[in-house]
Amino acid sequence: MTYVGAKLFERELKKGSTELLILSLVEHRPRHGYEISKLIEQRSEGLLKFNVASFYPLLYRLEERGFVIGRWVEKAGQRRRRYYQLTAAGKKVLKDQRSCWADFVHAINRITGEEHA
Amino acid sequence: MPEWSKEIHAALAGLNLNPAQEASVAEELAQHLEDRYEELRRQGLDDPEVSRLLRDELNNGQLVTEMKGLVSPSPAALSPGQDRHEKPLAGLGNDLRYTLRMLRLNPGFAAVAILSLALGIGANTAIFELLGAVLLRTLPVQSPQRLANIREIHGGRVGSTVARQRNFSFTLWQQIRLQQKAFSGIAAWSTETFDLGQGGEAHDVQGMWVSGRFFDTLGIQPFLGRLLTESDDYRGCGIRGVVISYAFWQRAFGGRADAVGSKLSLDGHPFDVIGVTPASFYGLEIGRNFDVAVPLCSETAIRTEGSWTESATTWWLDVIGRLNSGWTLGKANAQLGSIAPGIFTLTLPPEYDATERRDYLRFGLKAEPAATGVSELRAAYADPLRALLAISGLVLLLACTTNPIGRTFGTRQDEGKPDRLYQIVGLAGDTRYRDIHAEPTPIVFVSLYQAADAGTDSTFVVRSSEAPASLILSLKEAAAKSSLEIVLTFSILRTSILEKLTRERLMATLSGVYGALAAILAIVGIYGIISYMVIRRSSEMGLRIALGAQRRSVVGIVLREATVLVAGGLVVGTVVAIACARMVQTLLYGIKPVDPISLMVAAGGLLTIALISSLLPAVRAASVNPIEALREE
Repeated sequence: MTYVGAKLFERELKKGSTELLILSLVEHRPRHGYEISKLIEQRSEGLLKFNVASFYPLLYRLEERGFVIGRWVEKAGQRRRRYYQLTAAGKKVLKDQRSCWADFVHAINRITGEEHA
Repeated sequence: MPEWSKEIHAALAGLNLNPAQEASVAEELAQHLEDRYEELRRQGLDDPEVSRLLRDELNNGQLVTEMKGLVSPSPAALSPGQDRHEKPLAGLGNDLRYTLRMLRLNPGFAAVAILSLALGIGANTAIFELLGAVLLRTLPVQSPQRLANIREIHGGRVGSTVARQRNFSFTLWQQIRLQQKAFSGIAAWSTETFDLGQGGEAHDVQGMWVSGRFFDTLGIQPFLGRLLTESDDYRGCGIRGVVISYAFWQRAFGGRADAVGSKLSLDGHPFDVIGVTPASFYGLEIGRNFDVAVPLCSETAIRTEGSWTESATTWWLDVIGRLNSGWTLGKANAQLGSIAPGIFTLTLPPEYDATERRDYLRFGLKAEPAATGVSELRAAYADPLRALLAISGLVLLLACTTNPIGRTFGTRQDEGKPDRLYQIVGLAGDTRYRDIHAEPTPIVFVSLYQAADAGTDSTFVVRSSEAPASLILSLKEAAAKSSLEIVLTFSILRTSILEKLTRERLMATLSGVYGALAAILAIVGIYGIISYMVIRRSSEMGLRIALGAQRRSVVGIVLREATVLVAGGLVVGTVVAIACARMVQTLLYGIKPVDPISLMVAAGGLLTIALISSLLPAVRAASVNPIEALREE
């Protein structure tokens, strides 16, 4: 049986990790907003889902802080789209957050994992 | 598929984004919603359901809440040249480029504008340097703000003032020193020029008479050797030690350490150099540095006859004091006020008659701040214009209302000598001999041969067509033939007058530069305004000409408008000038703050300048080609 707190816990986890997720996805190539949100949903197998109202504010916040930069790109035969790309500052933040996250997960696992006799 | 754009704009309305930003966000969100719509449809949901789902997502309020404070709201207004990313100096580069382009288009105007700015800045800097040096810089001594200059308040004195310092006689100084309680240290000083040479042409040095506690009161430490103290200044000390300034030590002794202990001849008397003052200390007078400081007590030894120290009616000392801790200037003045009557009673010169006695007993004492030193220079700069006017009156001839030829008058002689009676044989115009700044004083011209005692120093005026250098040489030879003890000082009258006028010439030049600058700026300004007006109204001018107006009448229109403009400015300007003149009243001498003639001349001059500078635009207006001007319309 799940208790009421589980949903809240999940929401907080999601909130805390989204920045890292977005930065990771634009690390190697620029992507547009819909593509990023879609990838998060697919790769988390539906566990992490965003809608237009919850996703774009996060993206814009990252842009405002200078971690990503958005540019309108026109390609032949396609409508123009806004592509987001990691900046130098973003790269550094991603690196820090990634190692921090790994440490955190490792620590949590060590505590919550099965105890060995 | 629904049209999202409208709904997105409605959802973003609360954020007050600037239009460009809102358009970008709306486009991006619309694309997202379209992609999502298609995806959900592919998954088999029907149109109304998908639309409702997406609409709910969009309007759940999260968008506005999350985005608040994140995207910058639309700026209230954008000033020209400023760019959208509103940093304080944004657009500065554009403005500078624009300025340069405009200046390049009109190089003459640019040159005048730049030149007048440069001159203005230069003149301002010069004046502030001057102000700083003369009025603001404090004396290089210990806590200068605790120093006070003590002076005598009097309404006319009988006796002689022999130095630039002229507040007290020696007897007065002694009484003040004994009776005052306000100052922890108090000192008297005066200045005199000494001759370093031993006969022949004089080699002048700037000397300072100082009482024993002079250096101690100022808080000055010796750079080398020791400074004069109370033990050096006692009655009948004779010829003993002197202290020299750092600059004089460098100049006369080449900065050698053995200067201390060596002899220095002042007016033929051998003094011992006992110490050197620090380089920062130049004396108490701004603009006049001292070379040698001699104890007051040596005065009687140098001036064996007619010593100033011995005379109760020779005013030659200034007094400076350091306030006791806890004492204010007000308290010090109260104490000085209480002892003044006693001091003046005690020092009453015996030779005074009843009127002179009454006047003398009314004198008072006053202490004033002396942190910035004392200076005649300062007075001269505070009153630059009066000094300027004084020059023009170098030889001021005042018509005598009475004709006194043939009448007689008496002169007071030194004690023990009978008063003389002279008969007036002629009248000379008022003349300034000592100082061209001073008001002419009554002068009696007496033949040298009538003087029973011609004194030890005389001034001869030599007029010659010979060149000064060879003239000085021949005068020296002539004097040496008569006696080797004669000491001569030469100065060329013209040069010394010019030197005396340095300050006035500086002030005059600066005032002149300011005046010229103001005129240039007025010309540039009026030219600019009238040109602008002509450009704006060129179609009107074209129409007038097309309808038969004479070119001359077009010039007239422009000039008339310029005159109205300037006349308005002159009225306002005159009112402001009168108001300001009252504030700078203390700087004006010889003319009243509101001087109708000066104001009228200035106004007339400005009007002329205004008309001349609007003439060019007026001619340009008259030469408008009516066809072109109307086509532009």
